[in-house]
Amino acid sequence: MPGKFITVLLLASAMLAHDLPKFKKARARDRLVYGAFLVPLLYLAFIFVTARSWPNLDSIFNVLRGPAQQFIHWLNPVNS
Amino acid sequence: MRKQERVSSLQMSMLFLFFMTGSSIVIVPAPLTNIAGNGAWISLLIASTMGMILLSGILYLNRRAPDLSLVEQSRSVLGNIPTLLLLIPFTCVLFWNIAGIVLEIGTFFKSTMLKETPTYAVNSMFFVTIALTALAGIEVIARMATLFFTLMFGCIVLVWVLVAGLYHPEYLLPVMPDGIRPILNAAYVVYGFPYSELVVFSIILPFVKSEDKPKLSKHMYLALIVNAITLIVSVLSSIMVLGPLSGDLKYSLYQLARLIYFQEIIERIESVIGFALIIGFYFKASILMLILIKTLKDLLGLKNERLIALPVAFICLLLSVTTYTKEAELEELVNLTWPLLNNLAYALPFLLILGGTFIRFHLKRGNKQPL
Repeated sequence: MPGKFITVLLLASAMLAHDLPKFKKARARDRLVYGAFLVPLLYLAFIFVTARSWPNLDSIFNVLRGPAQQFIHWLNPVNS
Repeated sequence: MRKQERVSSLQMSMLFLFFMTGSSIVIVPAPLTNIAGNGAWISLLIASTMGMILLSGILYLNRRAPDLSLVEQSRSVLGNIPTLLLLIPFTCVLFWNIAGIVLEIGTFFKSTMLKETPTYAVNSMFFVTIALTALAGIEVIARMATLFFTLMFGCIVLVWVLVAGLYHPEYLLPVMPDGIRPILNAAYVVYGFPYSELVVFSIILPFVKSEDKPKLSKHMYLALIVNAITLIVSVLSSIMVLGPLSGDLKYSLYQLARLIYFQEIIERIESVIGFALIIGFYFKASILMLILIKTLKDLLGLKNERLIALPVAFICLLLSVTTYTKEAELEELVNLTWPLLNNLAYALPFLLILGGTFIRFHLKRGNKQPL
């Protein structure tokens, strides 16, 4: 966990150091989008550091597993 | 990513070839031969034909509106709300697509070269490089591609040649011991990765110089043919060397490189070959990052898309370390769900935009002006 936390902290500091001067000069819409991206970023960073199995993109992707399995079974009954 | 950025049609087709061959050359041969056995090359022919059909679609769209990306074309044909509804899933899958490639790099390093290094450390280094490459823009990437193209394809050909002494052509027979169904199954897998992904390339086709547009189709088709040939030869050489084992050993080309032994001078060169193969992953991820940033710019109406490059890369990094962290889950996703997901998120919006453009241009006779 400390390794993960330090990695996230280092990368976040580097990102903010690079982006803050540009952020100050950016249009309101660009700032809003930047801020909006920080929400999933913080959520994912929290999941990563604390190793929680909270909903993520894979939860959505896994919804398609059933239909994909059916298609594979139709295509090749032996392999499925 | 700057407005005036332009590349030649040859450079664009080289990027396309990297995009199509980059990670697939390492990943595809093993699952393909595992499912289809000796008929894996037939699966590749079927999937590349499907890829050719999709490519003709994106080139058609590009001819109709050479300066518009897929998002802008969608806005023009379908309107704002349908574009948002269609392209939000497209963008989400694009986010994971980049994460998935780096996830594969991490897994490759973990199981071959950097066994003790945590995957997140490898992925972080890759994402820093990928983000900086995407920030440098398409012109820089295209210029780099010329150099790395020689290195990567040179190493691939070198492996084919140096393992030639181990070839057993008799391993290639019988071609279809279990009939056509396993071949169709493998074609479905390889259609999902990498052929259906080529749809996203329509986002960056407007970067081609206007004087080069007439040659674009020829160069892109040629790139896809070279990609299909490269994958087919890799699959054939892995079957000829490893025989029935080729489906069970992951990263076939790397496994072939491990077997190279030439007059006690050239041996144990798999690390060098491995790093050359990694270039393909890196390039594909960088091109996808560029595509994602351009998509977000067009979709959200951003003025300075460079501002969001790092947060986007950071999100992709975090996706790569929080989703499908078990190798078996990732393998199941690639072989089972990914083709369907790609069809729904990439191919479906693209086909709707293509259909809309076709109707608007050809069927409404009075509306023949460009989009």
